[in-house]
Amino acid sequence: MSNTLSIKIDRSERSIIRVLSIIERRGFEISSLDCPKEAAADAPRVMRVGIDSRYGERAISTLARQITRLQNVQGVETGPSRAMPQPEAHAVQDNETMMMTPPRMAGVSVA
Amino acid sequence: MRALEREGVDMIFGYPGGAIMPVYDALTGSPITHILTRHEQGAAFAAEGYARVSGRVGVCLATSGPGLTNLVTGIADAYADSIPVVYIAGQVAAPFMGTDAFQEVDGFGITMPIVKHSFIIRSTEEIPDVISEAMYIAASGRPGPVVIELPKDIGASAITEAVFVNRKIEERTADTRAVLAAAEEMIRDAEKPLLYVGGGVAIADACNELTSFVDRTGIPAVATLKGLGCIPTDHPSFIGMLGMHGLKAANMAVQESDLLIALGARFDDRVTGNLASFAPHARVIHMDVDPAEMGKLRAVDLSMTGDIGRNLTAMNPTPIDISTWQDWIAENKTAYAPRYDAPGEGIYAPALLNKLSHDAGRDAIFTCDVGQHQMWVAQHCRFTRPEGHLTSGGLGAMGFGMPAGIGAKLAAPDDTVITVTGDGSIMMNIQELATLNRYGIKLKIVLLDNSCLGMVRQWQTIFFDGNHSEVDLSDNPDFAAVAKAFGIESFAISRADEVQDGINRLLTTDGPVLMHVKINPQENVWPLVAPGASISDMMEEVPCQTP
Repeated sequence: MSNTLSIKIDRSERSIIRVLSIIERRGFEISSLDCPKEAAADAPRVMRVGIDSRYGERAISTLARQITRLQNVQGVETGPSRAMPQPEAHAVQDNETMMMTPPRMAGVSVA
Repeated sequence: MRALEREGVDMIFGYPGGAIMPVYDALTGSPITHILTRHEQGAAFAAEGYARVSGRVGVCLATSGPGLTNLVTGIADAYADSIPVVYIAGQVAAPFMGTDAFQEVDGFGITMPIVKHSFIIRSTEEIPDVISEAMYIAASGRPGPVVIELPKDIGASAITEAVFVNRKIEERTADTRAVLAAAEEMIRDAEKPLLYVGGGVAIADACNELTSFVDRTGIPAVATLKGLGCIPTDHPSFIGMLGMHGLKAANMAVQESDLLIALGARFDDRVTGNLASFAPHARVIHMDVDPAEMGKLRAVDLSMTGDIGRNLTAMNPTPIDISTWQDWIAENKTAYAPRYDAPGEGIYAPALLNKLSHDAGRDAIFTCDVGQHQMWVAQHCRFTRPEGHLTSGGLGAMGFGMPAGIGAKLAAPDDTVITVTGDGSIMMNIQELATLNRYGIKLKIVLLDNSCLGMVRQWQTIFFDGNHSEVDLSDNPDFAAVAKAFGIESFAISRADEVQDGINRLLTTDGPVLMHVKINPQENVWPLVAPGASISDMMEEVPCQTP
């Protein structure tokens, strides 16, 4: 089954490769890739990646969570549509558009 | 070094070389203790052992190129078992990166699939912040390894202005009251509830809460290899390890249960066997800090990603009446309890380990390598805390045992630390006997020698029609003599009537010591679930006649 991921990433070293690598490693084939250049040099990038499972039924929701836990990922949206990520998270379900954001770096303060 | 000191690091494990020399130059003026191992892989495993027992982030240093590549197995092990370690590797000077310079490899790329995160430091000013962030990432959420590559020219430059960032891991909260209530209702509705305890309980520091929950509810528990010790193995409600080499009573309980409460566990294939037939009658409550584990392999009826300890404390599903279920399990525990009455004059390894565990005391720490002895330790030793059992669970890396024991003993110098290894495994990192001798680390090593790669031999016997291919190690060196050559006290035993004296000598020796134990090469690990089979289908056999 084909799906499209919209993945918002930061500009840290090899962010794009890290994301693409985990998609392939978790058993999905990348069928298309769009990574437009953002106007601002420090703005997050939004990659759109078309994927197909190499091993039959593998849950896209699990892949989305595995991508979301990467440190350089700010959000993941999955689904057949190619919509841009939306700001609010909601429950994760396969075969429907979903958005996840990582809850991290809370409690950080500059000394 | 100042950045590491500021993070509270007091001990690091490593091995110097060209590109990391600026760091080693600064090390001489630092209060941080450096443990020089004899191979970078030894340092990587030792840092894991230190992290597991101390509860702190382990730190490991190595140089670029071969130094980094020698760390890779340790990094992968820390990733597979969610152990917080920061690995700092040198890199060639920035202007030479990408030119195939001497001792240059793409460490960032090589390790990318086996790290929680990684950095290449691009300016001297970044060093304090990257170190701080790496320590935070390694320890927070689901812990794991972080790799930092430090180009030599940047490591050699002086920092003119350092900005330190304080990062504090926030305490996690329980799930919402509605989710907790749903879990309580599922438990009350169940007639055969079962706790399936994984290593995540230890990572969440929720062992006391787990034991209290078991005491309050009477719900029986099984544990994975990494979950052993989260509830004391002699607790009346604890059945045993489940899975491929699990106890029969434990696997029977899983298959019969109608509610599986998975705590910090991930439905690993060594646990579930054939996934489709695993716990076929059970609804599933899954508690884990990592949302990516929810439904990854087994559909979940209720996901709980809040703090395991707080969830267990907050849940009160009583009163429940599961006495029929408890009685059935108790009968099975008795009926299928391990036996230690192997005939013959030779040494039966499970009996030796069971006795050793008893004599070493409830709080002894066991580290092991990988193979038959690893499963025997899991089956026949008792553990009262998770750090009492250090094993390479996810990766299954031979060579883990002795260096992990070094790290464990350095983290807990007053505790009895015993490494159980095999004649195949010890040769993977035998050079670390020199580290034991150098620092006088009072590690006790039990080498179970069956003159072969026992687990591979067992599988070849059972699954490859007895075609024993490249498993014979009958030309092993005299291990006791090897240990003596490294300056380690050692002795050998080969008969059952020597076991008690051997254990006594092992436990009373005031210094590093190796006990070489000759065992029957034909001995196997039972029970066994064939790969891909249901855990209902356990192969069993009586112990061999020992020679």
